[in-house]
Parts: sequence; C-alpha cells; structure tokens
Amino acid sequence: MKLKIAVLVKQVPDHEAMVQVKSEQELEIEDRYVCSFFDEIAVEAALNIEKNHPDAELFALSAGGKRSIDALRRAIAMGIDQVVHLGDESLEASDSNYTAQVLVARLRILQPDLVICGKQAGDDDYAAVGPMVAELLDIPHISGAVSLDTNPDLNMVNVGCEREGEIWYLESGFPLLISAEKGLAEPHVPVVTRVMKAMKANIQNIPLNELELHGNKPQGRIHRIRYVEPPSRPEVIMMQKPFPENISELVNYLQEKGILS
Amino acid sequence: MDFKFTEEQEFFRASVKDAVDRLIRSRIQEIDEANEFPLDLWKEFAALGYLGLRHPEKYGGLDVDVITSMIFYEELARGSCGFAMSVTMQILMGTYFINRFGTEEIKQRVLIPAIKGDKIGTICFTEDQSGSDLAGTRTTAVKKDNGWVINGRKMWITSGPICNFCTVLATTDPSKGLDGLSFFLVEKGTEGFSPGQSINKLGSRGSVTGELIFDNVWVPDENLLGEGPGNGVKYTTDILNEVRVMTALNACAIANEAMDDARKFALEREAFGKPIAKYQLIRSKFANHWAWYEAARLFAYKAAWMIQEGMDCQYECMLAKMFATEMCISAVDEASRIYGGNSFAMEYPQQRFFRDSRFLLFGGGCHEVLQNALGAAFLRKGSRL
Repeated sequence: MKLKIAVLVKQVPDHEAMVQVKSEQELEIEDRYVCSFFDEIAVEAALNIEKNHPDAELFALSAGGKRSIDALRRAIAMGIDQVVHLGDESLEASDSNYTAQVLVARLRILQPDLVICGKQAGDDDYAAVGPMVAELLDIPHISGAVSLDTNPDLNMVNVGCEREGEIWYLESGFPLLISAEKGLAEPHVPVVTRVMKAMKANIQNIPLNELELHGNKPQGRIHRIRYVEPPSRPEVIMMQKPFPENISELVNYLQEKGILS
Repeated sequence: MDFKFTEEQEFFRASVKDAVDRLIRSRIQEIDEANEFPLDLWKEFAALGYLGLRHPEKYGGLDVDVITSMIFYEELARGSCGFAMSVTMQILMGTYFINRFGTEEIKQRVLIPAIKGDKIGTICFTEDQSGSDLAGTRTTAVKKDNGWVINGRKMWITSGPICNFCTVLATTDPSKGLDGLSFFLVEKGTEGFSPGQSINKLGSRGSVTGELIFDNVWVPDENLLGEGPGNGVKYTTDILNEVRVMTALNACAIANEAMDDARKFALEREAFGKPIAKYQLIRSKFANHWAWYEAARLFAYKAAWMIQEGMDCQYECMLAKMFATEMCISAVDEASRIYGGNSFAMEYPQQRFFRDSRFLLFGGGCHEVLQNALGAAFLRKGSRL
C-alpha cells in the first residue's frame, strides 16, 4: 500500500516576538513569524515515515493569509516537495471551525491515508483544528502522539501518546489523523540546497471560492469579543527577618491585611 | 528605489537564523572559553552546505548573489564570532582565487573538498611587518623548474595553523612594489610549508589564527593563481570589496546583539526604585545606537548592491566597513555602560561583544589606512565619487 500523508502547518509569531494589546479589537504583534513548533515536529514525523516507506507521497497544506506561504516554504526546506496554500488574508480572523472546513475541502480531494498536524498552534494554543479536521473527514484521530509506527501493508498504525503522565499505546487503521507532541520527532536543520529550493518554489494557491465550503462562514460559531491585557503581577513583598523569625513576620503581615484571623 | 528584501531573501535569512540558533548559539560561550577550533561543529555546519555559497553549482556550490551571501554573513555573526571568522574565511577569501583561477584539476582536488568542509582553506596577506600595506610584502616567489619557489612567513592567518591549503601573496619582483605581487596555491604536505606559532587572541576566539612558514616551498606553474605574475593586487580589490561589506555586516550583527542584550537588561534592572530603562540617559543610548545602526546597515547593503550590480564601489565598501565597525565599537561601549559593573564579569556576554568587536578594526584594512585612501579620494573628487 502506497501511503499518502498530508501535513498541516501554520505560521505563528515567534515565541520571542512582542505581542501587545493595541485595542480591544486588535493585537500588535512584532513581525517575527515562524512555522509553529509542533507543526515542524509533524513535518519531521512525516519525513521519518518516508524514510521507511520511500514510495510514500507527502503533502503540506496551510490555510491562511500570505504569511502561511513561509510555513509551506519551511516544509519544503525540510523535505516535503508538494505544498498547497489555501485561502487568503480573510482566514486570519476566522475561527478554528472555518479553518478546519477549508483544510478539509482540499483533503477530501487529496484523500490522504494519514493526516499529521501539531497538537496545538504556537499562537492561540486552541488545539482544535486537528480534531475538527478528523471529525469533518469522519476519520479517527489520536492527539498528542509521541511515537508512531506505520505498517501500511497490514493497514495498521501504532501510536504512543502521553496521557496523565503515562504513555498509552493505541492502534488504528488508515485513514487516521494524529497530532504531534514534543518527542514524536526532532526537526532537523534544513540543508541549504533545500532552503534554496524552498526560496524559489512557486507555491500553489487555491482561493476560497474554488473550495467546496458548503456555505460555511469565517465567523460562523466563535466570535472574538475583545482583547484585554492580563493583570499585571502584584508587588512581591519579601519578609526581611532571617529564618525562623520571618515565619512570625509573615503571619503578622497576613493578619494585618485581614487574610489570616 | 526599493529598500525591502524579497520574500525569498527573508525566508533565506530566517533559515540561516534557525541554523545559527540551533547549532551555534548554544555553544558561543563554550567556544570562546575553550579557544579551540570546534571541529565537530564545523563538520555539522558544513553538512548543511553553506560553505559553497558563492561557488558554482558544478562544484557543489550554490552560486548565490552578493546580497544573499551578505544576509548569510550577517546572521552567522549573531553566533560565535570566532566560528563565523573561520566560515567566512572558507567561503570568501580562502577559496576565491582557487575558484576563479584554479585549473580543473586543482578545483577537483581542493575546491570541492573545501565546499564539503573536508579541507580547510585560508588566504595569506599579512606579514609581521605588513598588513594593510601590501606593497611591503616580503614573501618572495622565484621562478624555478616549471614552477616557483616561495620563501617567507605570514602572520595573523585565520585558520592558518589548521589549514589544508592556502592562497599566499608573494612578490615575484620586489622592485615593482604592488605590481610585483601574485597569488600562489600551497597545499599541506608540500615540503617546506609548515604552521608556526598560534596567536592567543583577545576576541574571535575559537578561530585558530597564527603563522605560516614557507621555507623553499616549490609549487608548479599551475599553482600561480591569475594571469601571469604581477597581477595579484588587481584581483585583490575584487575580493576585498566583498570582505569589507561582510565585515560591516558582522559589525552590525555584533552591535545589535550587544544592544539587544543591554535592552533586556535595562528593562529588568532597577535603580532608585524603577527600571533603568525609564531614565532618559539610558534611553538616549538606545536612540543614538538605533540611528547609527540603521545607517550602518543601510550603507552596508547599499555597498553590497553596488557589488552585485557590477558598479565601481571600492570607496563605498571601505566607507561601509569603517562606518559600521566604528558604530559597533561605540555600541558595545554604550551597551557595557548600560550593563554597568556586570559588563566587566566574564559570566555575562557584554565582555565578549567588546572583545570580538575589536577584531573588526583590522580585518579588511585598518581604519587609519582606509581613511588615508578615502581622504585622498575625497580631495580628488568630492563626496559624489
């Protein structure tokens, strides 16, 4: 059986990028974006499968604005040759359900045996799109995979995933969606020839009006109401006396504040 | 006019940054303290293929344009300065004349392994009595038996003590000064060719710098790199333009690293009840640095663009190198003042930025010599050169 694997990737702000609330309706994000950490693990996991099954066919998909193209270039640099960019800037403000609908519209045509995505995006941390894609495709999904063993000839996938501090080993057949947890694969540093290939690649875009979205709307179910600054950290008050006098000092302080009676 | 990098160039920059972050930056302090060439890192980095950046694809290179290569040098300098010196020596000066003038046999023997990182190359200009003053070169090459006999000593050679081959500048006719200079390929194992002392440097530690000795070293005619003897200086300008802009962008990277580190420090360090970033005198340092840094970087990339366009830009490259390096020297000084006493402690990176920045003063021509040439050119033509 020749495996067809689709990897879902997203471009997100670098973890060191400054993110501030500009207004209730808008965030100000420093212009430093990278392919989401867990999505790179997903790409590497797909490449690892390809090493064992050289005839496997790999795709990477990203739904979003122009920035998504860089996530796809990253996938090319790492080793995936076939990539597709779906949609446009309007997706940047859409909810997870609509993003999943867009991805599924293309996945239905590609009909992959295995879909791999990061367990959550590096920006909103929703961890929603992967399971939604699986539900919409009506295929099983296993989230938080830390190990993966595929046997296409036996139509069998063994997945290890972390649950409550334990690793559960689960078994499924194809098709299947898994979301990648840290430990599933170690993303490699791309060689420069692949970087150059990614730089020069002409990335295929499929506009929203060419996808069968069945009337779904970008803001169909979840609406962003407003952004608010997280509360600033309260002042830290250190007890000045040495141990053990600082214990009674602390108790006295809490009594003065009415926290202890 | 367009001051933007292309999307492709931005992607290339992000990819180099990722490689530098993941392979080099975690080892900066270790490399600096050990002051030994990190051969394991060299092999790991070479495997990524960047050593062939400027060389033809038929030899395993990438043949990228000048601006793309400058993006690489700038990002590389965010890592270990010493390691960056070794890498840029290999990509630029160490292999330039071999690629340009070497026979096919030489390219197969030397260039291809150099691009793979299996052989380490360098170039030898400087001697104990001459550096920027190339006319003072005392290493000689005398014609003998279908070849040349080289005698002399070269100093301050990056990767010299560990090199597998070098391009050495020697005079074939001392009476002709600059017009008597030529480049020769000398390979490790050639009789009479040996490394001398290594230099314990203040900065750029981790690159091995030292002396090379040429004691009656005979090389065949094909090892004369260039058309006929006496044309060395003519070719030198071509490579020096790139070296100077590369140095300018190294300076920009070090300055930015130092100031970014100082920025984080200023936001956290409190004095008199508030973060020092709240004080105007501290803010003025960042404001001034920002202005000089933007100007230096813009100038460097303009010079790179001029090289790429094939324009006559010898003076712009000198100016860019000098201006960016002086900006860097000032930036690491100001950053250390923001850092206060901690900048004097070896456990913090500010002392390393200070030490590394000093190296830039000399590579690509010391500023006193550059100013002399630039001043003379200005007097001849004015600023619109």
